Amino acid sequence: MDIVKGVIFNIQGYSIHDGPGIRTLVFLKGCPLRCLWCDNPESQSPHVEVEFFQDKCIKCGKCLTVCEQDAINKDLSCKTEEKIDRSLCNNCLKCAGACTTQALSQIGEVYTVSQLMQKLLKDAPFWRKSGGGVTLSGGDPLRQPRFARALLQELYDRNINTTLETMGYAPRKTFRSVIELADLILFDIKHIDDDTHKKLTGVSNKLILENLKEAIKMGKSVIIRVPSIPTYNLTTSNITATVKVAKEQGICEIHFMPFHQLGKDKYSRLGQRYQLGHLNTLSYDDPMIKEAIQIAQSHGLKAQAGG
Amino acid sequence: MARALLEERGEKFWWERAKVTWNGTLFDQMILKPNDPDALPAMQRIAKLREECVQAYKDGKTKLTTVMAKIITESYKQTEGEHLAIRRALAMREVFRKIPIPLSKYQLLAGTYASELGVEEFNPELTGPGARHAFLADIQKKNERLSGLDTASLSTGTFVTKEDEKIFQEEIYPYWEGRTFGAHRLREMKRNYPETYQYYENSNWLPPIRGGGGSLYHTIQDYIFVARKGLEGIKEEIRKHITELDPAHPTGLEEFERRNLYEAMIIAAEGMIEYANRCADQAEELSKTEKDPERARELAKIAEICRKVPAKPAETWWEALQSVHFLHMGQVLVEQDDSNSYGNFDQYMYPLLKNDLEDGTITLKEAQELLECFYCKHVEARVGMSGRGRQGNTRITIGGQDAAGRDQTNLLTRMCLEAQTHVHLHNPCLTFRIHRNTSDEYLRMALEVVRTGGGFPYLCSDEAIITGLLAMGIPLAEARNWADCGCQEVLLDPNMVPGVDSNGRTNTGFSNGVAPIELALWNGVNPFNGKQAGPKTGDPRTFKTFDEFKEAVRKQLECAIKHNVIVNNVNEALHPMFHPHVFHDLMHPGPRNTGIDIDAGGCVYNWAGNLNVGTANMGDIMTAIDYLIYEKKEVTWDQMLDALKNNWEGYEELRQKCINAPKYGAADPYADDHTNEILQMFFDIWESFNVTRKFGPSTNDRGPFICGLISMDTHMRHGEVTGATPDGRKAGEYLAAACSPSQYAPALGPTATHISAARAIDTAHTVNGVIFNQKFSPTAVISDREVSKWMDLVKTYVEMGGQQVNYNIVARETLLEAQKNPEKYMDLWVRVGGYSARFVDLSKELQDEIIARTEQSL
Repeated sequence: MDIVKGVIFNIQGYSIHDGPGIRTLVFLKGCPLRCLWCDNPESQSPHVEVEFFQDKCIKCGKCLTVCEQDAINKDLSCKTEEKIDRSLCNNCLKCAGACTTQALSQIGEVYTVSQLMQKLLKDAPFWRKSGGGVTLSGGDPLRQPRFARALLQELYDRNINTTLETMGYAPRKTFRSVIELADLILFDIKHIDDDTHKKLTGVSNKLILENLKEAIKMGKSVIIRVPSIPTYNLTTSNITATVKVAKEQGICEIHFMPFHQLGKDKYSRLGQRYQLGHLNTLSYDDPMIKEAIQIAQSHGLKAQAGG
Repeated sequence: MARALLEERGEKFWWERAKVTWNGTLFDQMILKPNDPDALPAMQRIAKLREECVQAYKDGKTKLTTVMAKIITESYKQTEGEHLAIRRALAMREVFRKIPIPLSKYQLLAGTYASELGVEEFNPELTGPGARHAFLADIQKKNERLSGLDTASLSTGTFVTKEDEKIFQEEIYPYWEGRTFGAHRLREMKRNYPETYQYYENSNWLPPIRGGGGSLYHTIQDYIFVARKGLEGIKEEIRKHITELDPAHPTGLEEFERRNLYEAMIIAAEGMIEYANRCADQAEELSKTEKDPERARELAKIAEICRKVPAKPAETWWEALQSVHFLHMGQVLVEQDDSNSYGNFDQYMYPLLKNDLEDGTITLKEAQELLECFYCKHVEARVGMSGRGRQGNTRITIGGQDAAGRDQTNLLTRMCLEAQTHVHLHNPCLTFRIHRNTSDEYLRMALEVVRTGGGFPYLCSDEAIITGLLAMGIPLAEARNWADCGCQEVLLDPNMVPGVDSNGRTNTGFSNGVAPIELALWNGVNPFNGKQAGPKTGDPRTFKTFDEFKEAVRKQLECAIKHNVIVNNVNEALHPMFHPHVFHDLMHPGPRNTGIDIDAGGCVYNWAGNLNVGTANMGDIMTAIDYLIYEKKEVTWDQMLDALKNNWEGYEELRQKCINAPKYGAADPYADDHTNEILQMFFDIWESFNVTRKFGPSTNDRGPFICGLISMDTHMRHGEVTGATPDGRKAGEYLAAACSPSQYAPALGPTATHISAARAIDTAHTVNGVIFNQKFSPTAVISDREVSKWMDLVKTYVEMGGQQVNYNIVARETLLEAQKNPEKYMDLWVRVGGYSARFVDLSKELQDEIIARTEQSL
């Protein structure tokens, strides 16, 4: 039997806003959506890739000598986003391996479940004390369903509380097989209107909304999370529609995640363009967030800003 | 002025101006709340007192005055030929008789640590570490001859007026040349221990012994017994001891010494009583002319109390606070040392408070107001060390257990926490003990206070500290009565177990733990000055195994530590010979009963404590060498030594390998275990030496040397003289502070750092203290639920063996400062909306955004 492996791009201890207690967040690489506001663009591709930190580069030129694809910019002082020609790059990681300062650095590491558990379990005393556990996030863990399931199974066997953050965009069978082992689902809803959803995320929300129903049918605890982006989805009509869907499904809790610009720097490092640079960050008590909370509360939902 | 200042700011309290989170369990139960009209006058009084103190330190410069130095010098001129203990006592009494007594018009407690509010006195006899150096060093620049008096210059925090400089030059210095503690030590070291003297000259272990000196820092006096008995009662006791001496049938020469010390203690006690009476006279005078009838009544009451204590037994809360303050202030003034701490204040003071409350002598609000007046006393003037500022490290310990292991938190514990939030200054410092029976409620309140910023209270684990004390051989019941002192040095609290005191001589110097490892790299040659400082332990290029390198390090450490031990033992021998600690002796039950000076072994338990600097670097250097040279074989010694010699210039690639080797602070067992092992070696060597003083009530065993991992700001000074090191650090860069990870450790967040600290540091060997400082973003601890998770973080750390942690909740100003000086804030973590990063790694734009967010969330 082959051993299932996963690509993980970050592990974050002392996470206190993504489920009960003190949690360790595991970020699985790969996402089927391409949300305009994505703050983890490095999570989108399911593969290991390379990002470039201009400020760490000592311009030694080693990367040029190892790259067989001719994808590295000959000009060592080029702009961050022009460092690697992504159309030529095959993610062989040779440049990251050669780079001594980690200016070119590998995003994503391949793990077996047991390798990953070894890392995660260091935090176990904190989970046990606080009633916390592990949260699978991403990307979307559904993009690596076999690995996500195997990891959840392992955590379940060790009686470790699990939370799964997902967009719910996967075939029903896949969706079921992953979420059935998680103790809590943080279910992202980006927009209720299908056309807008397509425009903002690149995919239809039909499957997502069906899977939301499926999760409820399975008896899972679900909290809705809405990344709240002014003018894009943080509108009275969309929030009302979202809250209504939640209400219909008997969901009791909704979190509005105020828009922030903390992913901004990452785009150029990946050679990508970011489209929401013009928007202002929202504070947790921004009137728009407050209004959203009010709408949710008026429908009898428990609502808050942030996780 | 203070009033005007407050009004100018719309009478806002500090927490309103700073916009800190001001809610939670403690805040709900507060005794003094601003919206309570009955509490407002008390709160305004405290705010004004606080403002006076802040004003005094506004520009970071304190006036160093010669008022006390002159009194002492004149006294000594008149007592030539007397016994040394008597001379010291007479000089102390002169100070108590003559020093001006400033009294803030808002204070309810009298007596202070200097001749004016906000200034610093110094005792020329003990010229030693700290702010006093600045004065002497400034003058020394103009007059090289002064070098015998004092040379070490640590502080820039003081200034001297022209008049004071003249007095120093003409009246003080000429008398003291060659007679100070520093001068005695210098002569002694040069003549009798030239090898040790030379080691200090050539190595970077500690600064050279050219001046320095000092008092006995870090002590806990038995305040409550002296206050309850009264100094007159104590004098009676001492007289009784004298009558027990029979000069017609002496048992030894020391009996004649003891008699002199007893007499000296009585003189010092009388001086203290006279000082209190002067305070009473002054208050009485003031009350007669005071126009405000309320203040006149207060002054009359102050006079009445000062007339009574500390001479007579303190019977009420107010009297007890005044008496304990006199005893602390008196000692700090004449002995001129810092970190004299109060011990388990909430336990031993509570019965007095309880009595007053029960019989209606006082209301709870009045009691709290007095307690906060007591707090404010500690910032009225600057004393002792406090290199970078202000009076230092008077510690109050709260939240402990009794000898039977029962939780002792009480109303006063909460009141101390409340006082900390209201006064919120650098002194007194607060330590909260955590043990298996600590209630959730008290831990929560403690963290709510931490959340207001400033780092207090420190959180210390009874489990770790008591284990360490037991390992030293101290009985359980006494170990359970430990208290925190100074930074985090541990002492037995004589306020808890009558008569059981300790002299932990907790500072044998902040030694540079990296220096001996550096010497092992260069066959004993100090690259900083090219001198053969340590033994020739071999060229590392010839070392076939990591163990051979470790052996070289061991030999260098043994050499450094042995010399350090010699200096310490000479220090403690010189004090009773030349400068007996008369007031300490009066205030410690051991010396008071035996007539043996505190530095001659008068206390029941005795030891000395090292403070190690550069802990993370030590571990990381050993890790990098083993990992890169021996295990992975990626680097040769030739390459490593060439790179270090060239301070990495031309070796950036190698340096990056070193930086990326496993590091302490990342929950990486490889690095944590290497750190643990080098520390273990360090502990073993220190523990193999002993002091001259005995250990325990019925033994002739000598006390041990123990270790602490504390740096204060000396990691900067040591870093400046330390060359490039194999952990990737460049020459001259600061060492890592205390137990913090180095700036090169990957930033993996608080669980990783807590795990590393708990694993790398075997706290059974760190009774002399651990400072594990963590910076937290205020956004991580706003809600009650976040505080609950934070409590679980602390509890887990304690369960894993952690000894101490203090959390600095980072204010907006700190973030701005970190933008300007990123190198100082490598351990600053920010967390916003599920995204967390090292603040300094973020772009300016993102940093600005986080600063904006921090503001909003406050």
